[in-house]
Amino acid sequence: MEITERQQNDISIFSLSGRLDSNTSPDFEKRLFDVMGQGSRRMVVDFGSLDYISSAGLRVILKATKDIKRVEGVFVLCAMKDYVREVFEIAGFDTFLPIFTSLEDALQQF
Amino acid sequence: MDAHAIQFKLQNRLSDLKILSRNLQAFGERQGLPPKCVFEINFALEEILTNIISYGYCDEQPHWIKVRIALDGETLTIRVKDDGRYFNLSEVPPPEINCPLEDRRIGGLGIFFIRKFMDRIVYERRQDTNILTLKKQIRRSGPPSGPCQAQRG
Repeated sequence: MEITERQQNDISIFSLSGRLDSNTSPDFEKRLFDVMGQGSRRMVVDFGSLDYISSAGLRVILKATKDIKRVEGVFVLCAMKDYVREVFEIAGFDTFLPIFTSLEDALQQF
Repeated sequence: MDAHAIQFKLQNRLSDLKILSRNLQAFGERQGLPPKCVFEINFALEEILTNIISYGYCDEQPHWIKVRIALDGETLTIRVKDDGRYFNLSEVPPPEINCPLEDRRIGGLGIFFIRKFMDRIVYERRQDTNILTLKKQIRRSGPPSGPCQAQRG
């Protein structure tokens, strides 16, 4: 999996491509929490090029959502493939986690 | 070997899950399975194999886990065999998915997905082997928005 990370104003944007599974989730978790540790409170994860997510990936997203809410930050996801989005819906994550159809839409929420 | 079947084995280490995704991808392409379908099978199997690898063994020895996937008409049959400790996922209670975020836990969610993505789950323990048989219906006709419609005629 490839993770690219950039800043736009004070928003941290993570773009994922490939597979977020048991093997790659620890790396993503570290990158996410490093940025949070540096004080970032506004984050977007762009799923546009992500082909696969496992429950290990969901676990990282759930943990990040809880931690960011605790410090009153904002965490949103965007541009998921239909079947990836379905996993979030089945798990019920879409009830507490904003999921936007495009990165552009997601950035407008800040 | 049946042209509509695939068989492979993994060792009990998470890095071997790549063997699953690689084989499944190739099988899906060969059989014309839609990406959504391949995704659901991969998700369910990764859960099952991760459980076996993480909790199935009491020793530090290498063990082999065997997987066979066969497509017969519109029915996909998956069989997973391992020599780990007794584990019947049908006995695991469903997770609470309607509670607020603060109370949400990821544990148990994996098995919830296995049940969601598979139509039938049968567990057997034979001698010292767990045998899990899963069935999934692949729809070859019907509306284009069907849940798991194969791309070939």
